[in-house]
Amino acid sequence: MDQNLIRKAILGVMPIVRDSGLLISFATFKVPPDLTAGGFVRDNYVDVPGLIDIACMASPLGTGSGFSASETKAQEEQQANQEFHIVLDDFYPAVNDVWRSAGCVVVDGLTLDVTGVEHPSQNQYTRVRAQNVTI
Amino acid sequence: MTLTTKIRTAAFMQSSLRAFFGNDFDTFRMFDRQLKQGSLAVGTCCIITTVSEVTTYLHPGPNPLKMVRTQFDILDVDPDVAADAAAAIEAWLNTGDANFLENGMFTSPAVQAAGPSNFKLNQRGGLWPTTNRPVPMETLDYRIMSVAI
Repeated sequence: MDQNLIRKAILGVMPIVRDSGLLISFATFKVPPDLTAGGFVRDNYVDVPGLIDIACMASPLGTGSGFSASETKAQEEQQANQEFHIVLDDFYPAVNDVWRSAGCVVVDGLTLDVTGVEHPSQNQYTRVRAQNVTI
Repeated sequence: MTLTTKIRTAAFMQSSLRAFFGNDFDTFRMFDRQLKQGSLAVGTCCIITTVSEVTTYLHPGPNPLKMVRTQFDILDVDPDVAADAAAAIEAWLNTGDANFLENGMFTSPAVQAAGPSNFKLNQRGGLWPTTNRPVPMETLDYRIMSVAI
């Protein structure tokens, strides 16, 4: 079997996705730049250059049960949790650094906490796990 | 009237506390046991939890004066604001306005305690870790002298 055919096929996947019109959302990644005088992480997140308005698709995270949004009731709070699986239109290795720097992503105006970043070894795209939790 | 109701009602009378927790009594963000969902997005919040209630004994029977260990968890996305709100609660509890041991605290004029009757046991910083980013919290641990009304 000609292994080059597989490689070429892989290279053709994301152009088809990009042309499909599925990537209708835009993601901007942000990191907290500094600390308060007392040393707590300040909430004035700033955009990461090169990771602004990236075409993407944000889907509810697949759980097998078909519904990933959830609520957890505890004594002192009721937590509403919504998780997303975000596919970016290309390979962005810097997104990994955002995840590991307490960063967040804003998708169509909704601020989400980045809780995971993956890209397969073909480096054709990046996928992000993100969540929005409110109490 | 429960002690939490007395605390919340009396706290709302203080402009220094309304500045942190809101100017509408119905939505005043001082909660009994559980944070009301969505309130943290509005502003500083306080959760009041009774940790324990100690009752002593007098010769005729149980002493109506209770020593209630009460925990105040004060949350704000800004740790400095949480600390300022905790300081405001502490300042108020250290006055005769925070009178929970004499009848008449809700009369007009209100009956003040002769002096501070609430005792701060401890204060510690903490985090509320479950939200998108952790929320700073100040926890006040008080012994509040209370008589049921």
